[in-house]
Amino acid sequence: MNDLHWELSTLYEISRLLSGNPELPDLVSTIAKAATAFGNADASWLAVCDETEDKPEHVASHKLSPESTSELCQNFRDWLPTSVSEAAEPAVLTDLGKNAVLGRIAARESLSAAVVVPITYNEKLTGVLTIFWGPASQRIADRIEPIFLLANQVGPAIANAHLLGEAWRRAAALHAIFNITQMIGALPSMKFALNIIMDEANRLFGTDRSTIRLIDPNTRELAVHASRGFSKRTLRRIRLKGDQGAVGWVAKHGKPLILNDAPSDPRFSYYPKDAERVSSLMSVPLTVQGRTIGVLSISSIEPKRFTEEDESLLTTLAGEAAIAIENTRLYEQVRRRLAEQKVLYRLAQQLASTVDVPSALEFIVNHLSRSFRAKFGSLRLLDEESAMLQIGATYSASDEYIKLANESEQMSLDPATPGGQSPAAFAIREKRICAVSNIFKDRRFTALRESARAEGYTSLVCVPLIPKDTPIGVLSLHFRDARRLQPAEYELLQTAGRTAAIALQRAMLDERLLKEEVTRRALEEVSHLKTEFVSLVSHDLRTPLTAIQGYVKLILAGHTGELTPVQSEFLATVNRNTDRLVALINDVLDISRIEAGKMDLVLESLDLADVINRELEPLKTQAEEKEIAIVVGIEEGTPRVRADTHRLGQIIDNLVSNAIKYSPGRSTVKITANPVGSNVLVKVIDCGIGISPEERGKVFQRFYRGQNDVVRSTWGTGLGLSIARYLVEMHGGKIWVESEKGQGSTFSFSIAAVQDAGS
Amino acid sequence: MPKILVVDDEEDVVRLLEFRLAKEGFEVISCADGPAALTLADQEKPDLVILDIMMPLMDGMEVLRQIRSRRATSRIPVIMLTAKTSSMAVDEARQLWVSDYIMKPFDPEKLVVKAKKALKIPIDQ
Repeated sequence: MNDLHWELSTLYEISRLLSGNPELPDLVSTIAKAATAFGNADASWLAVCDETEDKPEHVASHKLSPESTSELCQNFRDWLPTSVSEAAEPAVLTDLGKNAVLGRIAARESLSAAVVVPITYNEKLTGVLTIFWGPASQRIADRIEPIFLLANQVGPAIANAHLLGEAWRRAAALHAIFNITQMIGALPSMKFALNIIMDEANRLFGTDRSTIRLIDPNTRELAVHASRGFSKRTLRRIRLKGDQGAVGWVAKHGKPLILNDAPSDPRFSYYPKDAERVSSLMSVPLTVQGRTIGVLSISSIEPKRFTEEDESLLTTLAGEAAIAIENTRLYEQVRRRLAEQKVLYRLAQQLASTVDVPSALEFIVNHLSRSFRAKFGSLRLLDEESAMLQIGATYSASDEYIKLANESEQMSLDPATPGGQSPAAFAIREKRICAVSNIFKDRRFTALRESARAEGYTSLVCVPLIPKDTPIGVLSLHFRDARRLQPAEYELLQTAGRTAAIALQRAMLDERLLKEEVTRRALEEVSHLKTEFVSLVSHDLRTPLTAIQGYVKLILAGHTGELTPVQSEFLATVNRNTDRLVALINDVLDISRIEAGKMDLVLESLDLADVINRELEPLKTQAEEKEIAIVVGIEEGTPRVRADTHRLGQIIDNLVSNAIKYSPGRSTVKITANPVGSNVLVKVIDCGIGISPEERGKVFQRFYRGQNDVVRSTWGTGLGLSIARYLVEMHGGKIWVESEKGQGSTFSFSIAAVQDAGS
Repeated sequence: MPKILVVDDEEDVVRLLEFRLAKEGFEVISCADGPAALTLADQEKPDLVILDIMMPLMDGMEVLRQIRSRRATSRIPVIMLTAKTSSMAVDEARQLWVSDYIMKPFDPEKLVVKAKKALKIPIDQ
């Protein structure tokens, strides 16, 4: 009864203990301790194992030396009775000396008998419980039954603990994933996110190294994106194409791969033999929306036994990594877009406030070179007339480069010249960006290789500057490394080029307007000076002339007494030349005044006959001298004209005095007037030498004088007809000449009639 | 005998006019600037004023305006002597009622004709 009571209470204790969900190592040592007590034994040893494994997973002992505990563990398969390992039947060993291992332990620990009890769960062997007795122990057979009872309880307990451990690991993994997810949300860089994922993977699986490789969309290479535990040298040496190596296999098939014994697998062959040793590896694909974008691999130097569950856990982590990569990619995209916007915004903003072309050029080339991290850049402008490119501004360009660019055959766009075969010329001709990702491999621009070597660039991009349709220049950016333009960069350059082009054109236009404004002001200034000169001359020249002419005429008129014929003749000469000087001054002043826009007209209604008669009065003497008859014929009903009386008189005077001058003696000069439409047409007809057709267009030009003896022998300023033309045109009329050589000339001009018939 | 006031800052011109007009039997008084001209016009009540436009102190146009604005002198005929050929100046002078104008340099004979015309003295006598 006592025994039974003790057994029951012990069993209860064990059940309570086992139901407390302890972790496996705790459980194992608790059971070992309980087993000793339960079997009234001297020592016990408990191993949790898998039937397929050589060594137990967890071992605990009670009252056994660590040496013996370890020895039992190391040589597990050697001493385990076959009935236990194969039939899961307990074995009672009364003579431990029969087995070498157990014999050594029995001797060392002073033990003599043992019972080996299999622990099963779902008919599978999950552990072995061994209880030892010393030589003094009795009634071993009596203790077997209770031990079996205990063993029956231990099976499920261990299974539970196993599951629990699994649950714990799962929870830990979930926790890791949670951590990762949490952090990724706030991550500034993809690298950092991936490092966290890899650290978690290494921690969870107890591995040493991990890599995340991404498939380069351009080269299809599996580029190492992030890694943990690798030397840089090794990483550089494992360059893999999309289908090479174990990683390549995963990338290609989109399936996970476990290589617990990696070196024996042919797929692993790409790993450098002399590189850091790898025993086991596990790789899973990184998938975004069903597309494999890369591979997450973990590996260890120590051999590992990765399971399917490990694989699914790593796949979960890979999912997180893929999300992190995708998120970061999207984030990077947004960030890049922002950066792009910033580039464009800065460009537009700065250019909007830049007025002069040199500053605009300078800013464009500096800003875009820096934004794209170019080694150096240049902006060349297209000269429309010569179709040549001229350096407008440069960024960090060497003197040699600038010198070369300024050579005429480099400036030319003619395809027959070196310049015409340059990427810049291509960009301008094709009106699109010309990108050379590696000048040393590009077959189109082999001529540039030498210069590229000298200048230290490998790639370049030429952006045509096209404000609307016509290129105005080209921006060239040179990069140290072989740089392949990403679509987003291409777009950005295109937009930046367009923005720059528009701004540049505006600046050029502004500059031109500014120049025009300066010219206009200078002209105004000149005009002002001219006007001042005119009024100065008109006063200061006339004043002495007034005195000279006045006194000469006074003496000639005989008011100062009788003159001798010679005195009279000579004074008449003085008088004539004074008249000429006055005429010349008047004409020059009139021309100046007209050109300075200072000729004012006072329009009034005039009777043409009055004006003509007034002007003929002083010309009479001249006409009489040559016996020229002046005939005025104004058609009846000719209306009054709207004109400046003084200036209309001047027109008539100029035409009539010319007619008299160039007419032969004893001829007739006719002046006619008749209405034509809303104008009055006035004609001055002479019988003079006439004007040749080629001279006809020139007679109204300033200072033009007929190329013949008659004209040459007659005095004139060459300004009269040109003043007449200006004055007629200022009145809104037209003047022209009809003539044949030797047939006389007819000068005609129109002048506006007064519309009101009543006046 | 009609009294003529000649106003010009150029002494040579004044002497020329004095000589020629005196030859016609006119009484000629003269001065060289605008303010003096206004004083003389008030005091002497000339029958005609021959007035230069470009003068220091006060230009001829201003003198003309003042002559026209004073009751005592407002109806005196005036002939303007001008070196200017601007139609604007001529037009302005005409609006202030000038009898005639003559452009420098001038023929003294023509001036005499114009003076007689302004004084309503028959020519060719």
